[in-house]
Amino acid sequence: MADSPAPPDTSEHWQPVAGVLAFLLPGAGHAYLGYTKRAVCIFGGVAGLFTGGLFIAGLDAVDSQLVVQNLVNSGVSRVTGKPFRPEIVADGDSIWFLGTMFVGPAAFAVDTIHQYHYKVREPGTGVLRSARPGEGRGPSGELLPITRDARGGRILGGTPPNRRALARVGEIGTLYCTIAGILNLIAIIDVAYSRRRLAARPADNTLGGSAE
Amino acid sequence: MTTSALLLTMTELGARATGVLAQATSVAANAPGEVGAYRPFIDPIDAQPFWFALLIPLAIGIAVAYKAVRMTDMQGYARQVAVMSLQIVLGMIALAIGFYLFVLVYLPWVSGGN
Repeated sequence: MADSPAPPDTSEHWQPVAGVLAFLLPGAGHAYLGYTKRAVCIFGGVAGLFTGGLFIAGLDAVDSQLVVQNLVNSGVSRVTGKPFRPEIVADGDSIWFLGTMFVGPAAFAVDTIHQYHYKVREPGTGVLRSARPGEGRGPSGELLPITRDARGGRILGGTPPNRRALARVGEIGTLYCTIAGILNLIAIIDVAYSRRRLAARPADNTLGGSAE
Repeated sequence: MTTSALLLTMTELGARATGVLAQATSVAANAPGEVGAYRPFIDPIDAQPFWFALLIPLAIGIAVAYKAVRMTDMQGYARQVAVMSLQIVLGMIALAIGFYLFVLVYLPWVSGGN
């Protein structure tokens, strides 16, 4: 028995707290483990791409159609026994949000603002959708037509919500945000469970050491 | 043409361009359904004419985050980021040339020029 190899010490390369921190804020997991320079670079890359995507395509770069929230609410309703009524969203890019969501709470916050503060509710059905040209948004999300007064300047009958991002600009903005999320997923996996970090000891694993 | 005449012509052209721009802005602002002034991070930017240039900051952002995760140590990080950014951009250009040749040269050639 004495000759059998010792089990690998997983306590050092399995870091769930760092993984959770990395999800909450890009780079925070690496900072927690002392990799300050890596943390700054990861935060710069992920946050730069995410805000870059928002800058290019506007709020349309992040649009989940509330798929994740509906799944969570469905699970909660099963546990609590309360009736579940899914929020229906008519248009969006939910498949891209599966990547974007790994940016963390920032992605969900932007998505929530987009859904509930810039989309309009279809009269009758209550379905959320982006406003079309000529449509405005009332204080509680109701659809109101945009009209102008006789002098042509003032907008009456609703506040115009965001403009839709179309064609290449919309695609590239969405791509920026999705790649930001996927890169942060790589960072989460790296910081939560890293064989490289264990193999590279001790030179690279010096907390905040000279290697960085 | 003397310098003063040239300057005068350029000033006149600039004034005309400003007038055209102001007129276009006014028309756009009064168009039905127009949502008004541009709001950063809410409305998309008008980058349709140079959308391909947006791939360069994308490549740099990918390289910055990816190399921070993948490098064994952080020695030569900036150089590695620059190399990877260049590789991505050159790869994109190579793909674009490849697809261009495939669609506009090879496919017409195999179909007999029809």
